[in-house]
Amino acid sequence: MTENAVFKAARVANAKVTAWLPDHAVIVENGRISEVVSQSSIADGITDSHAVHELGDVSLLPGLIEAHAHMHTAAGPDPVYTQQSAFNDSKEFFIMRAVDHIRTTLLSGVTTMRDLGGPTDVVFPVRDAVRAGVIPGPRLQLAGAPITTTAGHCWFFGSEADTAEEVVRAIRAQVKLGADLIKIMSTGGMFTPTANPRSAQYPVETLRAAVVEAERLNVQIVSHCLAADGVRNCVEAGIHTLIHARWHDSDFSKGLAYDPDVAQMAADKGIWADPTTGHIMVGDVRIKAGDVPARVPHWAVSATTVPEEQHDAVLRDMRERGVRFVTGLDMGMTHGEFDMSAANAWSFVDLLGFSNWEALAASTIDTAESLRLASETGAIKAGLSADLMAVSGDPSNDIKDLFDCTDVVIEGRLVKRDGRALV
Amino acid sequence: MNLAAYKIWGDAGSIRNARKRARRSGDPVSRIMPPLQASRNSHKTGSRALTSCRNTARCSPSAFRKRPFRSTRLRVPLESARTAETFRRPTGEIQTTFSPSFVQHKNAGPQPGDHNLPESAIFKASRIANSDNDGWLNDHAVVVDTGGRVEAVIPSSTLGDTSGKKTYDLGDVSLLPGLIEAHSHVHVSPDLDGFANITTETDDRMVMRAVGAVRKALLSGVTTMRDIGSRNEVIFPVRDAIESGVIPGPRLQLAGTPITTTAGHCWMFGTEADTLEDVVRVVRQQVKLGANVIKIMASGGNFTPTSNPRMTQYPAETLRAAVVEAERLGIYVVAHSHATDGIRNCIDAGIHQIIHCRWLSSDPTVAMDYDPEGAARLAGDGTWVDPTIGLSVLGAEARAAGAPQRRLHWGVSAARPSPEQTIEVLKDMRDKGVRYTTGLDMGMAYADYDKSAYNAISFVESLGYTPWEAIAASTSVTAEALRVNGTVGSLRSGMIADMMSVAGDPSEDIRALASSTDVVKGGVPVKLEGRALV
Ligand SMILES: [Zn+2]
Ligand SMILES: [Zn+2]
Repeated sequence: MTENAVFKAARVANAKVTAWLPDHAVIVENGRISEVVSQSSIADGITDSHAVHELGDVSLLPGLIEAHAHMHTAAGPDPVYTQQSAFNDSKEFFIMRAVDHIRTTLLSGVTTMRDLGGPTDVVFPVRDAVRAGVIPGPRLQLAGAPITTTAGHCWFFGSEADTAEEVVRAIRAQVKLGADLIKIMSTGGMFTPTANPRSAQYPVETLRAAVVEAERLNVQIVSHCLAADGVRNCVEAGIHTLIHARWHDSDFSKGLAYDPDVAQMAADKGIWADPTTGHIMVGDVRIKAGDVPARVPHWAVSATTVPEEQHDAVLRDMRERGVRFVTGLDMGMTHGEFDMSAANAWSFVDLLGFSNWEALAASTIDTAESLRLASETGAIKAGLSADLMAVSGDPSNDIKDLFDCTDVVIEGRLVKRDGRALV
Repeated sequence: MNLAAYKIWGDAGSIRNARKRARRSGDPVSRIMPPLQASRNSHKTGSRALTSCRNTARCSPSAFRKRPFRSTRLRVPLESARTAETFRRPTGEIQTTFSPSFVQHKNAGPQPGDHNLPESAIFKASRIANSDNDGWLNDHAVVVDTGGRVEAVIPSSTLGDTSGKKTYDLGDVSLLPGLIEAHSHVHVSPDLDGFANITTETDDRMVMRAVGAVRKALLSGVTTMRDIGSRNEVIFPVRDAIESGVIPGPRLQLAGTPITTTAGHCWMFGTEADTLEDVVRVVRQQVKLGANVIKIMASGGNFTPTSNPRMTQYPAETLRAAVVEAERLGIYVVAHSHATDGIRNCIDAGIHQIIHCRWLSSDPTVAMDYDPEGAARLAGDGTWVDPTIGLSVLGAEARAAGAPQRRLHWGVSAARPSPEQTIEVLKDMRDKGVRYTTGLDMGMAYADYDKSAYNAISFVESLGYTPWEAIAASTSVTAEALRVNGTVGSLRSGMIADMMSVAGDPSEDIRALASSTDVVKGGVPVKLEGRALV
């Protein structure tokens, strides 16, 4: 049970996440926002029925939405450790990591988190425990095991399916186990030595069958794609969100094979992209500072490594054509620590040309729309779940202030206050 | 890979992998799984469904029969048990090797370049406990080396050049060795009906709860914790995860599942073993799975409706066999006993430590049957006692705040010792020289994981300890009982830098111990100024 409460702050994001409402208060009843009002207009008697929290000189935002996590893997600066643990650890270790990780994520201001791939005997029990109030964590939207080819990208925690029939069956199995959405690997990936990130893993027909089945069962389907061939297949098949959206040429000696027409088709179909630029940016900063060694490229891209600037230029062009972006960090991968969701907005501003407010909206209301949760969370407006986070500075001036989370409220319940965890 | 944990077995890697295999294969782990668990999981893991025989049927290979132990009965007449040869403990105690977890928790925060090993550091405080835990060193500093061990404790004014060392000025606090909690059950939650909890929840759920429990304990200032009864499938992976830096938590010394009779005390998560041969085998199995200590239920207990807290569960010979086997394998045995007869069997068997030690009469109409001679033997043999009296204080406080009186076990409902009687007996035992460990029985109702300070509080308020005696009990004394006083429990050169601080002065008011401000494990701060860093 959550008590009725009032959260007062010097700056409260407006309902569209485009500007501050100065000296406002968010009134919460039964875990939902009932009203957002100027502090001066609050009735004196409200303290009788509501707990009043003076958050002070902070910027109060909707709780962040993290669109791309792998809760069971060990994030951190060491890629060998991350990969070895994902290969070798026991289910119990994965569960314990996940419990610790999602708490960390919640306390960094993320109130909704989408997990795009983990072992089914880990992620589903963890979500059930969060819902039962056994452990603290954000609202979780889960893909369960990602669907991949035999030996394909993330086979070691995926559901291997090679034919269209097998893919359809795998989708049904994940939905039965409790998946809220489907993740399918349309190309190989850098995390998997036995996969080729430059080539498609499924023909367009298989992806189309997957989309038809997911839509029949009323779940979204998102797809990992690092190759131009994979992006094209996904866009033609009508996949709902392109994860990474990178356009490597299938030829090992070439860089990217960006196709603006395919990008335009994606925009026209309303397909979203998760550029995962946040964790790459964090890694680059650490490498430049000499904190960690340079990346060791996957065998498939080592002959022709593409500079990040080229990827960023492509992403900017996609955005200009109308493709909308979600804030997915790829939490759990190297440099994708679980308290780093703010790096999404940071990279959107620094690399992709978003304004600060556009990046804040991307991290909240936009990604809520993409996750089909806009009627539940993602904005501070009456009727939505009271999911809030406060930071001490003003991220509309300096986007990095988004890292300085002081307070977190989820479904009306205060879980962090003045920098101290309450859970 | 942390090798230190498994020193006594040789190659740590192969041992750990063998254990992993053992845990996964369904044999022998499944054989010692409680039946509820086996049936609940049988649809998931086929191998477990076939393991209805858990202990008895398969547990009589001829090798065991040749051992020179007498065959056993469930209960033996007291006379014969008491004439059994009294065990004399060897004088040189074995130090348990416990794995210093120097691996920093992976998610301490977004600090690029912040690697696993602690850097050398200095912790300054206005009051630091001296190495005997009986007085303050004022305005001193603990200097910690890069291995996470105490290099020196010296006056802050003599520090000299501190460049190259990270300096934490903790300010006006009392800095103590990290607390040592001698009695937890990490797989259950004090907020729930423990019996329902243990009989209905999945292992996965218990593992998830345990992650929160060990974090809570650590942040309250407990840096070493002995768990004397949790499911093997839960507690061993939790310790592995702490030692690997996967989750934050205290150093754990573990019993795994307790050994009990069929339907005996804590059968729901214990390993049932009825005969002497079964008990010996289970001691070995627990050691194989990673136990550093054996817990055996010498009498029934209040938690278990199918057991009788006034009666023994094992004859002295069987307990003696468990002691001999544990000592052969380099570890020690603690025994739960509420019953006077159970305590007598423990004394005759040379059990190393007695948990609860309540001297209940076997006559259900008589509350207690305290035997001062028995107490004198406990003192003379150097048998430690965990009086779990902090739990009584917490229970009394909860009831004063309106918590309902809980229903009494049928075995004690007719005549229950009054709190005053219990205290009087515990005081008399102490006067006779029995030494006490600080075990709260964490996980039971009211005994939350951040309440370890209530051990010391109850020792002062109920048993007449001085505050310094209680602080020593919670640190160096219990470290000695756990055989880890060579590495933790006091702040002196060479010890692992496990520390906790509180704002007030617990030597004036012991209740100050209940609110920790800073916690350091192996030289790495995990809590500073009341803020958790993990
Ligand atoms: Zn991913
Ligand atoms: Zn206990």
